[in-house]
Amino acid sequence: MKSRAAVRAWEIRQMQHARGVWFRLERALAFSRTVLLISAADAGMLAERGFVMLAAGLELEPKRRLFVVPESDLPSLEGAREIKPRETTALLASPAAILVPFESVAETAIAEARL
Amino acid sequence: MRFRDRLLSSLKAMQPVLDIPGVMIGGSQVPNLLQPEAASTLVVSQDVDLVIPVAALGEVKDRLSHVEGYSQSIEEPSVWLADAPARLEVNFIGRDPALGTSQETYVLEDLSLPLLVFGLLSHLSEGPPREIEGVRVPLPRPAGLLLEKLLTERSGIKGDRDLLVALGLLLVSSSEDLGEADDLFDALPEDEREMVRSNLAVLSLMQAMDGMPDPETNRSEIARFLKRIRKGR
Repeated sequence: MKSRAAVRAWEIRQMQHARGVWFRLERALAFSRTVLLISAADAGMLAERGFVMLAAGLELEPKRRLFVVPESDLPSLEGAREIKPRETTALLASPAAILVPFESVAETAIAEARL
Repeated sequence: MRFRDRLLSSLKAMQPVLDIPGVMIGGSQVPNLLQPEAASTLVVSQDVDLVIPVAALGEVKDRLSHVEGYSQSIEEPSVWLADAPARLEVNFIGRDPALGTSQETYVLEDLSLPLLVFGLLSHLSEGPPREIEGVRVPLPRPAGLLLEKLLTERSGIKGDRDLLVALGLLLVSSSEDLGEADDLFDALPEDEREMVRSNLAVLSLMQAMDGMPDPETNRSEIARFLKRIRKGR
């Protein structure tokens, strides 16, 4: 049991390093009410309009453009496909997505996305 | 028979042990017992954990000799089995202040009641006991148990179960309880704070399981708590 704890502590120390990407992605998903899978073209439009991108998504290889957009700011995107936040296989298979935070934590979700 | 009746019947039988100072209920039955009228609808497991201060082990053994309707398991002597399905299994676990609040565990060897002693149980502090249908039920304060469950090592179903207990506690916690959890969280070392946050994120992404608190319908509650304990809040 002690060794499991040691491994866990080691993982936690990786938070700000390469392995920490998964922890940060997991947390961003925990703040998200829902997730919309979008096309690369739509991602380009959102980037041009200055929407916040999850830093952890850009640290993946290949990079995933994962935007954190509050519900009230969501543009209308035809072809966006909604998935549950726990459907990470679908999320990672998509080049881009929008994480829509719960309204009560939207500010926090955006602040953490930049970390 | 309703689960609540089985739970209360078990605690009634164990009353002589529950009356020992420092002994309290632990684990998944705490949120059940903290629900209004101890409704016990947040069922997570079919046993009851009794947290025993190691210094009280002798007294616990004496009192167990007065408990009726239970007998010690031959395979696992820290477990007591009910002689009727109307009661739940009782699992004795140890708390030792000497361990601090570390992740360490040890077996307190004893011929009649060996205990697995968990450092994390030192996060628990005694709350006001509840009187439920004539049974005096000593309970921990929810904040400490919440932290203990969120500091658990995740491994398989047991780890998932601990996180569901944490969810149950979140659902029954008052704003004062959550404020107390904030303070306890602030006092943790940074690696343990990250572990708590990480486990909350995992809980948020878990699928619902039959008869247990549903993470999916309570994701916004989890997100709000995650926001409360955010780094540098």
